[in-house]
Amino acid sequence: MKKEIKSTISCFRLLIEHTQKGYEPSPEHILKRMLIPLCAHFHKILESGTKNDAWEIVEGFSQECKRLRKHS
Amino acid sequence: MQLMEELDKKSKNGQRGKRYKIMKGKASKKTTRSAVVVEGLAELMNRLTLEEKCELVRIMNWSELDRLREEAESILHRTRLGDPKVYVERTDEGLNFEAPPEKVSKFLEELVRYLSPKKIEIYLMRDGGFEELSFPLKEFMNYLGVSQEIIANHYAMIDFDSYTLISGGGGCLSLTLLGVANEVVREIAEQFLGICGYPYKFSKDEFSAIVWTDKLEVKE
Repeated sequence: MKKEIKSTISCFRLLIEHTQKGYEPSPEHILKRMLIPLCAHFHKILESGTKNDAWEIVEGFSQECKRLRKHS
Repeated sequence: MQLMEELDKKSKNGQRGKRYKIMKGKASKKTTRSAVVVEGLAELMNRLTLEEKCELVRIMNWSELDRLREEAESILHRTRLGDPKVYVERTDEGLNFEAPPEKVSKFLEELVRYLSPKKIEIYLMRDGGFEELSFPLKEFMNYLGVSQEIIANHYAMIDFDSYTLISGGGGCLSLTLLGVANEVVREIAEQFLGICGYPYKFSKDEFSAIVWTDKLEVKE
């Protein structure tokens, strides 16, 4: 798997993991440590990725969503 | 209706504005909207006059309102808000950390000792772009020595062979350790706490530990 794809999915996972913690992280933390990097990954995919890359990312996100459903 | 008129009258006299100010003062950056609601509810119940309370119970049951407040307060106390100084938690796939940024480099040094990877690959976000770096173990240690600030403060995905560490920067870390023995996972978590200045030995496989100010709170 390409680094940019793996990293985008991992970034999304990091965001999900923060919803499972025993405390509520600050909005600043979510923004700076997860959302801004996630947006930068999207930008890179749009700029230099392929449609297949985008599809792989959506599939990866979907796998993470399945895991999230198990917990909720 | 009478209660609303009364509240409206107080609002015009500036009393309601004063209440809002008090609530607003309590609502720090670390307070969420739900916390403000709980505080507001508690404050409303404390401040109502006997007449107002009588008026309110015509519309709703007072004990029900009181139970609601207690429940909301207990949820609020269970859910701590904000960003801890130190945090480690066992997850389905590995470990999750929050570390002081200056401790990240030292922790990575210790981590490679446990994982003994042959190759380390870094996918780093810096200056709005991404960089790919690759090192054999020895060179990675040298890189850590000179690039502590970069690793501690920027988003990075670090692959230690088949294990992956995600760093959101600022000490926010998530490590996947699939296939690693529970004992080793525990040791890594203990090592992390030791580096952060809070040595502790976990006795169970499921655990979390948190430091808000200076006291280590452990759940096993």
